[in-house]
Amino acid sequence: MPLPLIPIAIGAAIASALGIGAKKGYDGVQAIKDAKQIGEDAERQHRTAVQRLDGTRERLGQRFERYDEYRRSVVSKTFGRLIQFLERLDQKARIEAFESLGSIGVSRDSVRQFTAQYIEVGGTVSGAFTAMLTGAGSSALATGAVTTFATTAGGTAISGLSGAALNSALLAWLGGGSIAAGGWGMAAGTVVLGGIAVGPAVLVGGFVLAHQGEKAKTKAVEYAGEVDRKVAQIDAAVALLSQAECRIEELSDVIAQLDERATGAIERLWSLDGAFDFSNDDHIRRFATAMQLTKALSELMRVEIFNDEGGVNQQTEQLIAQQWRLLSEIAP
Amino acid sequence: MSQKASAPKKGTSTVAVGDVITGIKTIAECVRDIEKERTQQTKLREDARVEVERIHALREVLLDYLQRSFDERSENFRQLFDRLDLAIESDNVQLAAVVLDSVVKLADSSPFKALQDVASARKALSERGKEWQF
Repeated sequence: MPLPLIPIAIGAAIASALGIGAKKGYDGVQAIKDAKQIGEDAERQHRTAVQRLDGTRERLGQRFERYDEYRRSVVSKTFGRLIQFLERLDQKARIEAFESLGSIGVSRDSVRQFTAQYIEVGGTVSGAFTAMLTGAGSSALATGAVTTFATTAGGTAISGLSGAALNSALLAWLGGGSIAAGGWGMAAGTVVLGGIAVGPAVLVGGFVLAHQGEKAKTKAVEYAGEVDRKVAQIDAAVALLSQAECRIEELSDVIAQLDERATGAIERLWSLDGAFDFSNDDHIRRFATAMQLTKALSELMRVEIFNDEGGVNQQTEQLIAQQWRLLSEIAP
Repeated sequence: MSQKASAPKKGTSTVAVGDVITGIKTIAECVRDIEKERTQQTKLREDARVEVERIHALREVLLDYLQRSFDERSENFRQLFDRLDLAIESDNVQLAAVVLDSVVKLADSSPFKALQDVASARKALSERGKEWQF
């Protein structure tokens, strides 16, 4: 009695196997289609993210260029005005002016520096003035080892960077200089930015050609996951680049505020034109204030947006702390 | 004759059963492989989701910290400029020099320096067996 059931069971098994097989065959074809779709969507997503990054970088570069132009206009106008005043002093007054520098906390090097910056933006100074600054020929000023403007890895350079170079610049900006110290800035930067603009390793063609349905889909899902991570890193880079813009805004604002005060101080000095007297305490104070403000502006021109260290050294930090204590004691 | 005819029939039936069993085995393996692949896909999706969330969270922490750092610096600059104005108005050249020095140093310091300090502290605190002297 069970014997006639065997062919029926075999028949049923064959039918069932054929059914499952056909279904799996269809699923396999569908899975390859899905894999292709997943891969293409991921590629598109990655491409769009890279475009977003490029756009942000370009905007940052443009912002830095505007900042650079602004810096140069301040140097040209404000430094120029002070230098012209110094040039108009008669020989005796000018000698007194330079001799008084030490007592007002402005070194000859500082004057040399802002004069070099003025020359760099196209300003001209008389030979006599230059000779007084350098104590030698006029050429010594322009060719001296004076760092005039911060240019290292500045925004202009950043706009031209891509891939690993951009990544490394961003990491440096995030405190990459402290790699040895293993700072959190670096660690976080690495996690967020690791290999941002580098495309995913596997190409869509690679897994679609495998022609193994579900396996191809697994590869596609793996690829899409990798793209998701890359896109998240790119988006983090975009957000961090916007913080670099905040840094440029901050420096622009500080320069603008100092420039406003420096311009006022220099004009107060100019109001004494022809009557400037180094034996007059009020005149000396006006001179000192104008020189100090210009010196501070000159130093701000050298502040880097992106630097190797991502911060000042410990010694400077201590100096800042000391000054804060001093300020709280002096200030009302 | 009937025995002759039934022999190959029996043989065919044996082959067919064997083939069917092999076929069923293959399909079963295929189904198992597919399930394995699907499980792997779910795992990959989940891994990617977790990793993306981690990157987003870290980004938010960084941005929040930086934003607060910029706000704090902005307030510090404001206070310094208030003091600078007082120094200029009162012709206090020494105070002006001190304040200007602070303005330049604050501008020169990176807003990201604090991040490193936090990290160093966190790293030091997490070091096992380290003796602390206060």
